[in-house]
Amino acid sequence: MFKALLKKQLLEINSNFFRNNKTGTRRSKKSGIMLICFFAFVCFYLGFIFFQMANGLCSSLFEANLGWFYFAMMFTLAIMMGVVGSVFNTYNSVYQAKDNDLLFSMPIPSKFILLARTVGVYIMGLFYCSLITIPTIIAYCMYSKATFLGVVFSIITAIIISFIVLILSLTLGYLVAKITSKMKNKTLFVVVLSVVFMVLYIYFVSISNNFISSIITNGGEVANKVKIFAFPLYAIGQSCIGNILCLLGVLFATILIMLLVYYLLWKSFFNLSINHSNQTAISRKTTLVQQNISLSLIKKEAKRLFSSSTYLLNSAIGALMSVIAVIFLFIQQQTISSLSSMLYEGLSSLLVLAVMLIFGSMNTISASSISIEGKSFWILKSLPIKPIKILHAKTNLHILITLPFTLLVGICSSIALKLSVINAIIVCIVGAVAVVGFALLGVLSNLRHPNLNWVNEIAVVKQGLPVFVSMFGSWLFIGILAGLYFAFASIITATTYLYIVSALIISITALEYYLLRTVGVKQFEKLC
Amino acid sequence: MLKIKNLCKSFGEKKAVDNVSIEIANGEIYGFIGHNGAGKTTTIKACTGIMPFDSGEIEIDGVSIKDKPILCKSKIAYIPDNPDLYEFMTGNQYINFVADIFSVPTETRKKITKKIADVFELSQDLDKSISSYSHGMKQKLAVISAWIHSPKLIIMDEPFVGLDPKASHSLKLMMREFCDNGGSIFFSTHVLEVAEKLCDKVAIIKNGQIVASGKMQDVKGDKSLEKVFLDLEDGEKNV
Repeated sequence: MFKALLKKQLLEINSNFFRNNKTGTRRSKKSGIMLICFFAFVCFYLGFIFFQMANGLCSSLFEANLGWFYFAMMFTLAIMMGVVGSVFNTYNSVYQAKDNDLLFSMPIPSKFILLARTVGVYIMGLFYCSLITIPTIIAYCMYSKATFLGVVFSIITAIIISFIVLILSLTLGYLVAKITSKMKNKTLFVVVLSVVFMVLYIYFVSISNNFISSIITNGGEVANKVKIFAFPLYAIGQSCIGNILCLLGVLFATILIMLLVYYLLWKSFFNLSINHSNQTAISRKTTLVQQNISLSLIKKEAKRLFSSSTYLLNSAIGALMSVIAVIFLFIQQQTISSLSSMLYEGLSSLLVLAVMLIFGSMNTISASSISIEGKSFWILKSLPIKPIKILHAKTNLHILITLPFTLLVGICSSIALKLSVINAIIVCIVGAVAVVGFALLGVLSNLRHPNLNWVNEIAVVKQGLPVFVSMFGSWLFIGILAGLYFAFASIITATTYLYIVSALIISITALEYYLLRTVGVKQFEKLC
Repeated sequence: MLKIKNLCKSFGEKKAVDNVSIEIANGEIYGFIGHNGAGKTTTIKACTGIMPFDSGEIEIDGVSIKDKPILCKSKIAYIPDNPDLYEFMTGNQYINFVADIFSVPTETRKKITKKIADVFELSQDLDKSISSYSHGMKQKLAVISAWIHSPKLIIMDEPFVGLDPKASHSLKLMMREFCDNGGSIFFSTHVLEVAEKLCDKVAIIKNGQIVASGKMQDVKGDKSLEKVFLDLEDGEKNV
């Protein structure tokens, strides 16, 4: 019984790799392998960033006989990464899964259902924290005098770390479910809580460079403070370098807390899940008034976005990041102003454009806007509206949400880098066109890879291939543009390159729009 | 009003609909019956323009759905077998959305909504989120939104599933009234007694092919519709 549940859970997670959601058939080997390779590339890239960070700390801390502190720091970061990465979907995948009612109606003990869901959460957490734990161990092997025992113990501790991530994710998911079960506006609460989490995470990451520098220069003192005030971290660090007592202590403490958390969750799982599937009816007075069709369509899209914390948080994260970027610019304005005096006007303009492109491409609202229709897709298909109007509504909502924030980043960066008015206007216009391009790319990729049969919306807003293609495809494009600039910097001026890039972005956006009107409309008509 | 000519639709190797032809005139209620997987829903979805078909022709009020899908859709209303509506909207918001698409004036939408919601005893729930609705309430809301733009043809897939006896009775009266005023209805059902009493014409589909069709009296003769249907089913087994 549990095996069947587990298989279903794993299928849900891996469906993108092995199943074509558009046709419902199994993917070809070639397409599956290509997807896996792409995924592996992204993992490798992220892992490499953390490897660089580990590399910076490893040799200096081991030389100072503070190897345990190296592991304590890196594994704490891994815990943070794992929790932030998986906490957003724990609440949804454990308590709000659409098949909760179906599974509860079957003769399956709730502990098995919870366990299967827990495995799903564990895999997500393991994935995120492995992006740090694996590079940490590799750096340890490469840049210190690693012992066999140390390697084995650090691997065991890394596995324990993945369970600590699970404990924290489950606890936070439980708390959110418990609190929201008595609340009317659940979406708002989840959004606020998640934003707080994210801001804290970004804050820690932003101070990490200074922190790492202080560790390298003043490691002993910081390590002593950690030993006194954060003993569990000390124990984790010690267990990695071969202290068997610490390893056993960490292991037993983790097992004990895990069992306790699981018991607590199991006892309340049924009630909390049922509570969420039988939501209290909230009354919202609406007057029946006629509206313009386009306005009605875009309002429908907006209602869908703002009704789901999962959709909003995963798809409109760029808006939040833009605000954080603006705050950062404000705080660091002196440093940035001094930087501007060292840069040519053309190069500053390119820099502002790059910043706008990066933040403008972080929103993926349109990339899941077709799939998010799910089983109610028939409504749009049966209504007498031209497909292009529907696709416009989806694109326009993305633009409406993204553009103001991207422009804000563009304007603030232009002021900080002291761009001339003309250049600032050009950069902002091109940045705005790029936002339109990103929105179109999202809709086009979602039309190419739709998934209307999802059970949990996480499958389309977070794990969907179109989201991946839209965000990383945009970043790849930005990376290529940056690479080309450095390759040709000696023969082309920054201003000329800015004009070339502007023309390229405008042309690509125009091409995307043409594709939306032709291929996109045809693909929409074929969907059912 | 609805003319289906030699409709064919396959899913891979399987022929879901094989050379189906049906004609529905103004003022007729046309029942569509068949076992599970016979091809009813596929035919219905093709008629509503939701699902593309391989060959054949579908005309609504003389207009081909392949050539002018938007014009055809503006003349019809569709109620699917499982009313998966927008759960993030309230009942009224959903009605407003559908009415906006069909450009229904404010007064008309208010009048029609009040009339049908009162009949279905749904008026008090229209400001509540659809996510809190039962299956039957969603079905009632789907009926209101189908009637809201006064279509010429209503296509329904299993419309009585989930409705309470009183609502079922009200819907049957509404269907009759709608057709008496010149509209047409094409609907599928497994409730043969309802089809027998309500429909002017009927078609029985089996393995994607029409095995019997015409006026109700001609199809069933002296027997009950249930007997005719079961005889047709047994026919295949005997062969």
